[in-house]
Amino acid sequence: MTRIDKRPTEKGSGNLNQFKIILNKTCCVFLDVVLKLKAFFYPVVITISTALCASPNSNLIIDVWQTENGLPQNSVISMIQTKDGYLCVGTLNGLAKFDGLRFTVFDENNTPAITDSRIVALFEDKAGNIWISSEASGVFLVKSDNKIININIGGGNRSGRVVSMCEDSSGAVWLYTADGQLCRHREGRIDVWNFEHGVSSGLRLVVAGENGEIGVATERTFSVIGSTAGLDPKELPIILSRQFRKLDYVLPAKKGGYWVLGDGRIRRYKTGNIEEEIGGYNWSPSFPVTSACEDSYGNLIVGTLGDGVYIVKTRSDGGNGNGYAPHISKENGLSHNYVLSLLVDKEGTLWIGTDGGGLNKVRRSVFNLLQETFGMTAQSITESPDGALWFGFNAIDPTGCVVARLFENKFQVFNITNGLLNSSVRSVFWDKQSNSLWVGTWGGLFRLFGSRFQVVGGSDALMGVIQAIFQDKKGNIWVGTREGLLKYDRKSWRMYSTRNGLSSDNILSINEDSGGNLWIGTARGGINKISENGNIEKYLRKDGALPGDTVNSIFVYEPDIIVAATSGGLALYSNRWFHITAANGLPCNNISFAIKDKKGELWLGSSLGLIRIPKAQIYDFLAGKISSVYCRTYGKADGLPTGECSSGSQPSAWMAKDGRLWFPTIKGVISVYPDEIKPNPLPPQVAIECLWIDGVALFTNSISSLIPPLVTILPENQRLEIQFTSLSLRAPEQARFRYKLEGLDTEWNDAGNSRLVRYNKLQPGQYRFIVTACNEDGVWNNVGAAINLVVKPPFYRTFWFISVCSILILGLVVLAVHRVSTRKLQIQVERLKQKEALEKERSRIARDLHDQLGASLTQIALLGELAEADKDEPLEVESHARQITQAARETTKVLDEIVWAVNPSNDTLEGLASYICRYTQEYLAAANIRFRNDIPARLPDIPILPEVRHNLFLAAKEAITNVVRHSKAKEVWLRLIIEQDLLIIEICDDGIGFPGFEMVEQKKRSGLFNIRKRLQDIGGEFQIESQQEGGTIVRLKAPIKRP
Amino acid sequence: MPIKVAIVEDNAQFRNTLGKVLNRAEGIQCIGLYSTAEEALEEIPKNPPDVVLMDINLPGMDGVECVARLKKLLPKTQIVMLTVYEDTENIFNALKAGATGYLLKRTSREELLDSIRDVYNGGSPMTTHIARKVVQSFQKAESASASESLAPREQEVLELLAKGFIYKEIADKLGISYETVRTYIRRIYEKLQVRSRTEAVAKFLRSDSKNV
Repeated sequence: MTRIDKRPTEKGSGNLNQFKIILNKTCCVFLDVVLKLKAFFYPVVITISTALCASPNSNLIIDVWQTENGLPQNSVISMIQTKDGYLCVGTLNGLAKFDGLRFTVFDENNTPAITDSRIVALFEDKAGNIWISSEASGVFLVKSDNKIININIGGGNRSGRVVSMCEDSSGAVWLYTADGQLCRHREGRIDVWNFEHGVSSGLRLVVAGENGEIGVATERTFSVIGSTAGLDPKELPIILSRQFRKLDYVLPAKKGGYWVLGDGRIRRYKTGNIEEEIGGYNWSPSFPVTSACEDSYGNLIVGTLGDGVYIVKTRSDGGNGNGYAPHISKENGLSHNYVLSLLVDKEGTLWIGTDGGGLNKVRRSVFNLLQETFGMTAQSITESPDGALWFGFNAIDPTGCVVARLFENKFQVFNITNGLLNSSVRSVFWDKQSNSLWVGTWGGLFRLFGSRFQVVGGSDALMGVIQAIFQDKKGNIWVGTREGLLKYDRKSWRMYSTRNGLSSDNILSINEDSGGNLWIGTARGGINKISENGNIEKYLRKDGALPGDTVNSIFVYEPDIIVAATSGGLALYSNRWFHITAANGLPCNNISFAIKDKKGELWLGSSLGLIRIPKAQIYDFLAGKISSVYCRTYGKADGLPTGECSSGSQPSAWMAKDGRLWFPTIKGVISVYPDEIKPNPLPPQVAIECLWIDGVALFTNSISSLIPPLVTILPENQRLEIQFTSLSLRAPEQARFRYKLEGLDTEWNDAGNSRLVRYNKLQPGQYRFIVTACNEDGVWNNVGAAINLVVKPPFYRTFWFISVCSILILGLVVLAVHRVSTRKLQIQVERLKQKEALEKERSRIARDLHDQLGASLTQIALLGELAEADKDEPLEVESHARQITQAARETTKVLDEIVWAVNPSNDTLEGLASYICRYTQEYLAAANIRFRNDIPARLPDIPILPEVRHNLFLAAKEAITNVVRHSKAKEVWLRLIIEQDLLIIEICDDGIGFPGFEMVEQKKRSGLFNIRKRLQDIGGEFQIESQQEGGTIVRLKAPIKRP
Repeated sequence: MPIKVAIVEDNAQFRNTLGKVLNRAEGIQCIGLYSTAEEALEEIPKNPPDVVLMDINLPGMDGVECVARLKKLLPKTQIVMLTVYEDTENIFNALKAGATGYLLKRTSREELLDSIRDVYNGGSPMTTHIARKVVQSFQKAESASASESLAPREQEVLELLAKGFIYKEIADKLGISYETVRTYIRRIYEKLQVRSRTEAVAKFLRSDSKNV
């Protein structure tokens, strides 16, 4: 954007071609909101030169946009502001939408429906349809749903182009072609009349009046056509027709009727008569009028081809309200004097489209630069009771302007010729008591007597750097130096320094509160509050009192509120310290001075410009109602020569008796009447312009801003970017945004001035993105713009997938639970089985004990009794005793077996083998049968359940008993074989064998049956067979579990 | 000279009955009845018997431990274990500790007396299942010095014994005298004891070196 900043100069047109070039590509707005850059959007500015102006109410700030800034062409033929807030400009290279910062161009290339990029007229009807008249292809109607239809009016050739459009109060759109065809478009139907057809006229205008009227103008005639609503007239009802020698322009008047610029006069016509006669043209009638509009103050703004823009006051009260100079031309900064189009937008900003000079935005600056001080580093400002203002400069030239007095527009300079020996003034101060000026410099303190300065002596420190001069309520003069604080009580100087308990000798600022306490601000030493009785209270950064230890200025804002401008931000003392820093609203932290205007608004000087904080913001902040302060920063964009305010002086900024504020900057003294600052009350319209998914635009800014009702984002999409804008065209760079993604955020996010937000990898779900903005004066749009988003879940988060998975998982869980419980059940069953087995075993032992031991013992007892009874018959006694012995021995044997069976230490294969072997040997020995065994020397350490062991033993015992009883064998082999999981006990004899299995089965039923049964019980097998060579083999097979 | 026998048995009734049985027998004299191992260890050395009948399960110090200690004090005294059950493991441990044989308490009087006499005369009763145990023990042999490992004939005798052959059969089968079989078996017992002592020493050495 090229900004041409011009003010009328006394010298006339000296520096017309000097530009401030603002190196700013509009794409700078694509700052990443995610980064949450707090910094204000502010373009880098290279200033070559700036012209000066001292007269108030004429300071114009004109911003210019040309093709290099994105404008499609430098001839802006027509302009409208659409309902959604955009400025639409029509050029011969297409249509462009402008949000104040960025142009979006629509031409044949990106909008094929518009087959002709040469736009000659633009109009928006009340329904929001945009009518675009092309040079040779008729009119394109862009409906609010963005559908574009071509209406064949005036197509075909250039002379038939539609040059003017309006909508009457009945809703019919009227179009007037350059060759005099008047068309009415109503509900899709087009009626055409020849109106002043065939008459050569450079002017063809159709404007809407009241009550359904329309006004139609040509170079010679102004006609008013009565309402045609409901009629289908062949002849138009002309209710007025005035002839002119040269009619220049016609526009509807806000107060009724039509402004008619013709024959060199400006008149208002109403109901056929001249209602009002404003007077003659302010401009030479030789310049054709190309456009005109009326602002909200009732001024007519007239654009001429060749002489810029004229502002015509129409109000009788004299004020023109908008503060514009009556003539805006190249001389005061307009880019071109050939004006083609004019527009006053909703916020009252004047836009001027020129023929070759691009688009101009005209604003008025409320700040005035004291012309004589331009380029000089102003340090200190004070006022004498006569109303004269005194300025001190950090001057380079000792013979130049070192100290100046401004009185009744007279600017009087003081320098070394007046005895002011040092040209680096830090402080000018009017001493009301002695009615004289004190001047503190880099080297010494001076007083002005008449027109001569005299050095003030009395202390060595007075020869050094004087940084602050202050007078307390008692009239004492206090001087802040780099060596300490000096007090002058009109008799002598007294010095206070760190030796007296001050935190620093480098005194920057001095003030006195309502309680008579002196507040001394120092460099790097915080604040010393000195009470009347001499107590010093220190406020330092390390104690949390101050945000910075260099206190440039101390200001008593209210009797109970002290404001300290520090290097680390603003500190406010109201019973306790509060800090306002860059973290809560300030554009920067280094504050050089603070002052308040008559309304109580706080003005701060900073290196980024003047800062204004509304009074309510300060009180709300102190009351804890807000945590961040809204402040308005004024810089070069607002007409200041520089953003950098001077620091290191007291007094610095000054409020004059008339309420005018004076500020020292490093490029001169500026002033402002705070009353002239009229905050923009309009909340800005907000629009969501574009949306990208993974860098692919889903929708982009279109002619008619149209947001899809719902945007669907696929799960594989990573990055979502949303671009939005505010349509406050007055100071778009000062707009601030905040946004919220409902569904993700609960609070608003502050986007600063960034117009892009980026989200990465949104979780599936429904969202609503809302963005809103405030204008340069902190007025927020409470509604903002919104878009609904749906992030589709990936397949593994879809309903069916989750359902299937859930069912699967449920199934698994059920299965697991089932298995666990089954396992539990199994274990229980196992335990029960074990318990049962144990119980079985126990009852078997009990039975054995009872049956075998019990019977034997009973028998022994009986035999004992018999022995006793037969005591006289020795043979009987002997017999009984023998029987007793035998019974007892047998009992012991039985007991041995029972104990063996019960003893768990025998639950091994070795134990079983050993026992069977021993039993067999003993038994066979008694029967006188040879015993041989074939048992592996080492048996595997296999545990054998008591039941198995017992049954195997009993089976073996039975088998051996059979051998002894029936086989007549001489030798018995006991073999123990382990085959995999099978234990085989073979008892084989060399006896007679047995005749046949059936017979054995018959005869020895119970014995063999018992063996078989025992083996079946333990899951084993019983085999008996005769051998060829004689003898029998009994095989006992039992399963074993190897460990 | 009758065979002097001492009895270590905690059951007073059985001890006294057994004492009576022995005293009635010809050529056998019961010279001491002791109810605990501790008492036996204190009293027996004062009047050493030829044969000690030792119960395995004793209150306090058990019979196996008592055998080991008594054998050290009286190497020439033969110790026969008395046991109610054929508790192979304990019997074998006792044999390793120095006992020469074992008897079941339910053994008949004749058998008991025969066994005492046999042991006294240098016999060594060894049943098949004990023989199995001994075979196993020698199979485990870690070190094999001559004094500890069995001579081939001894090995043969032992294996036959483990197969169920009785002394007489072994003698016949090997063409040696019954006495020789007995001698072999006595030697097997001795080697078993040596082995078990060596084992103990080896264990001791091992544990010692471990501690150092």
